[in-house]
Amino acid sequence: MFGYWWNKSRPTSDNSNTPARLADAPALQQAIGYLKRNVGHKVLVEANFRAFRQFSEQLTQHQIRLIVIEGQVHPDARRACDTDGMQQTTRQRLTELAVEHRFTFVPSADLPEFSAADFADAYHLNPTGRRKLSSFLAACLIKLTD
Amino acid sequence: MRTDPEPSMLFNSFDFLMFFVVVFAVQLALPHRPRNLFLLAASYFFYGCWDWRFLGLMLLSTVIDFSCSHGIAHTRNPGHRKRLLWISVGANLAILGFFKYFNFFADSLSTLTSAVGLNLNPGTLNIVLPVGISFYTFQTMSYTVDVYRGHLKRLGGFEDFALYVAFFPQLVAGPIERGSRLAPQIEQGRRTSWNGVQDGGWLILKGLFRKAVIADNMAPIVDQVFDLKYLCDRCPDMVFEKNTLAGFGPMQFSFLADRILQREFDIVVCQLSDFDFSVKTSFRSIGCGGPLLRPPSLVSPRRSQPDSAGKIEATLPI
Repeated sequence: MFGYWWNKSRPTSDNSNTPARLADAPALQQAIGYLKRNVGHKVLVEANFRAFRQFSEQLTQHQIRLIVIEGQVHPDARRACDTDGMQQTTRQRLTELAVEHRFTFVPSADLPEFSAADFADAYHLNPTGRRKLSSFLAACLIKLTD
Repeated sequence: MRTDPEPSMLFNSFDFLMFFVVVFAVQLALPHRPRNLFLLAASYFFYGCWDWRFLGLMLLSTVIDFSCSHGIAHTRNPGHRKRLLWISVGANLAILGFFKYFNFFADSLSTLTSAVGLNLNPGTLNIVLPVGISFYTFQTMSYTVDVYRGHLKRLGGFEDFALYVAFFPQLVAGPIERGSRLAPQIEQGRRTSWNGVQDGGWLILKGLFRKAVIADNMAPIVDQVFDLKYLCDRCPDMVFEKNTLAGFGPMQFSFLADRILQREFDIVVCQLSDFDFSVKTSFRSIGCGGPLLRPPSLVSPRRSQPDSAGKIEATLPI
């Protein structure tokens, strides 16, 4: 049941001085295959969007500040799945929802640039990528709590 | 970054299951007073399984607050009452501050002095943070504050108060209880009903499922997104904790909202997976906050009691 998670979840050492592990071809292909099988399912998209709408509404009602950051994807996976159109639509919907529910939406354009060297597979970051994302997140948190 | 030693009797371990079954069965057979003494001994045993040396620290905190609350309840002199309150608050915060923040302040002083050209190194101690120190410190403080305000009648016996502080089901996991909820149950006794056992059993099963099936399987995935050590270093005012949540479709949002509301986070950072919300995915998250544990009696009754640093949950889907 949890094979997928286990396969994707080998921990890597944060303290190592060795270069970050790059996405190896089989892992990348497997993850791309997974994406291809799953993206674009209209029923799921709408169900998840409805759930997310409720979720953000709930947080707003409880005065909890929500910040939504667009996800990062390996450049090869992005090309293989041809996701630009879907991403644009999602971005648009989230931008509108962000105004309606008063949450902050950070599109990928505002994120640090992730190259192939930052990924462990199609969407999991390796230590270098994690550091990059964490650095961005830390800066956001510091700014928010100042 | 210092890390605490793992408690040797985790809630989801077989050891704890055995411990819980025995303690639950024995306490059912005991009358009120012996039951409290037995639960106190069990609670100290439970805590001692992590590190018996820190039992003394918990006992010290217990003695200080028992004495102060006793003094507060027995005098009408406002000045004396206030002095006792400050002794309690000061002593507790000093203990907490030492164990939690000594190295942080020592490091900060060193950085500050080197910035102005002085090479002053006060040194750091390899201090282990006692498990649950924040929980029991704030719990004892909130009790003393409630007695001072007259919201709570002090517990008569030392063993009752010691049990209130060390009660093992909440000692290392919280929540920090108001004295007015737990203390009367300890003092006046409890009646075990079948409905209560069913409700408690259901809560335990639900928690165990979330921990053993969901969180433990998701934890390694969280590590693939965040560099927790880096976040800790960059945001020293925040306390980070790794939380994991999972589910599919709408359920994951429900789990997530549930968790956020329970933990009273003030800010949630969420990264959406992929491109269009269609991937059947699970959430991975870490939580972080400022003063993570605030005594309920010292905050307003609103759902969330934001402080300067706030609590933050960062959530990223696969």
